[in-house]
Amino acid sequence: MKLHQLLFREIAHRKFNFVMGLLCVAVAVACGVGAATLLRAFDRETDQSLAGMQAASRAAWARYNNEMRKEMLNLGFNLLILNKDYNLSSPDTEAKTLPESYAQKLAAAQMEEINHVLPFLQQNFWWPERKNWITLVGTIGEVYIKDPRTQAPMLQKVASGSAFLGYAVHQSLNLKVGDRFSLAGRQFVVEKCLPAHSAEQDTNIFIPLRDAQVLLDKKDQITGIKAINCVCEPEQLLDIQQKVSDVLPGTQVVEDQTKIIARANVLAKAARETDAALEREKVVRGDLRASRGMFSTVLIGLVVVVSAVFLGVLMWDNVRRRQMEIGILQAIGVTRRKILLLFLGKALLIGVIGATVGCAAGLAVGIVGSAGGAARAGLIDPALLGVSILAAAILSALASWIPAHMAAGIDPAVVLLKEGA
Amino acid sequence: MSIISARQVSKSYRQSSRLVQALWDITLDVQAGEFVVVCGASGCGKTTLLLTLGGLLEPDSGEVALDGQDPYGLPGDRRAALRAATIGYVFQQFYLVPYLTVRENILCPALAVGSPDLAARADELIERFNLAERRDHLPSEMSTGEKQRTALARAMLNRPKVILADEPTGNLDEDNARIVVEALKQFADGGGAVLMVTHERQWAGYGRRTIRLEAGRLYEA
Repeated sequence: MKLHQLLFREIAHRKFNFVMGLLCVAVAVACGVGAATLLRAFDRETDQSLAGMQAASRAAWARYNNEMRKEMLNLGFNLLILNKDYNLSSPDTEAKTLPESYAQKLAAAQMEEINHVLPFLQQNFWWPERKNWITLVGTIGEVYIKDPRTQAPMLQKVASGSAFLGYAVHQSLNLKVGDRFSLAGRQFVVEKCLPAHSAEQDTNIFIPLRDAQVLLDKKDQITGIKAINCVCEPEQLLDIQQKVSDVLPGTQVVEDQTKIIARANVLAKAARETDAALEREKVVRGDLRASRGMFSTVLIGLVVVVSAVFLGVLMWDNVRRRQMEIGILQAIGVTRRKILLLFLGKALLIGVIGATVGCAAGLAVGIVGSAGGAARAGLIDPALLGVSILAAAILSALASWIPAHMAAGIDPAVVLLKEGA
Repeated sequence: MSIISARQVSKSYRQSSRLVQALWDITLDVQAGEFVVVCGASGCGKTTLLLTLGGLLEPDSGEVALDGQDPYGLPGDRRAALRAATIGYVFQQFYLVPYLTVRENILCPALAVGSPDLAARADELIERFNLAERRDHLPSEMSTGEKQRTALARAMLNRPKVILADEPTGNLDEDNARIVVEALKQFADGGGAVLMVTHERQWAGYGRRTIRLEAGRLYEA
């Protein structure tokens, strides 16, 4: 006769007690494994959802980078730097200007992105001699070319005493190259008659900046600065305007004629919206995960405590019913240690078998309750099952600890005297 | 050497607020091959005497020796081992384990002392006590006589040096009682010691010695 034979025979004899013990452990483990599996399924859904959104974000930024790089391979973009109070919708109403020194300041900054710097003074002007409104543009050509060896000037300089006439001007006044004309009392020679361009530019008369400053009474003032053919990395594109503003305080920097920055902003906005959606999803899923985790923790804790108490009561009842048997076994020489082992062995058996049943039930609940599809793949976590079974065995032993010690502490003389009385 | 030796053993209990003197200055020796019958009325301390001499109930005073060793001077595990090696118990209520078969009940002492020949010994005792047809039956399926024979076989499994029998015939009919007492006598004749307590005087004649227990005191008959 071995101790384990006694254990199994007793279990077979008191099936109800054993099955109830199994049920205690199985329910607790099923709750734990089921909750953990559902959380695991939720985490996998979260991972898949976030991975999809991250891919969309990466794609949006990749599109942004790709398209901006292509744009940069062409002529880049143009910036127009104006006084921050310059009214773009009604340019001449206030005629806010910048100091001419700003052009030198920008040139001196030698910004990587800027290739050509062109200051200009521009204002609608009543031409008294011809009784006509024109747009007078004073220019001194480019004050800065990033690499003069490889980059040609974007604008031809107007020589002193010369003028370039817009198409509408030279056509309406029948002026040709070499003709002389008077502008508010100052004499100019037509150096170039410009081809038709646009309604706005065709009324322009380009004269040297100094002459324009005198005619418009804007000494050392300029309307703005054109930064032409700017090129930069796509990542820096969205910051370039702020970067120029930092060099030239009190200015507004707008894209002029090109649409790259505007397009960059549209693409970046789309990418940022994808990022924002991703972040929102992270927060929502995180909150959900936290609340579900909290609920699971409370539920599992409660079920484990109730199960442990119930198992302890079952074991105590088992000890109470077996007092005579324990007494006689001790009388014939079975040690208290073996009695202890008998009860703890039963508790361990209940723990292991109950946990195995609970694991199966918990997994079934978790798998059936998960969203399904790809999220179900790999839901079975062998480590979780192993830990659950081990923990259940230990908890069962702990829950049965006091009853088992009560059994081992039974005094056979007391039992035999009582039974014999 | 005495298998059981008691010197001036006294034992009292507290029942409610009253002190009951169960054993009073008991001195007794039981030798190998001796069948000692202790007669006494119910409540005179017979069970207390057996438990005290059997190393289960420590006396208030006096000395007890089992096979030359003081059981109460030994730690729990060694005292249990001494009981397992030295004593076989038979009780009026049989105290069989309800979910074990006859053979398994007989083999119960093997839980205390593992020995390879105990299975064969159990089968031998089953034959000897005419339990072969009942070997796989549970106690609930047996008669009282069969139960007591099973208990007797269990007590003899380890070939103990002494059998302590507490009213072994108390629940048996005449025939079964005789079978049990005869078996105990044979055990004593074989060199073992038997200390049987009973309130039935008819069994006094089977003992080599008969002792009367009255109010916790022993008197040689």
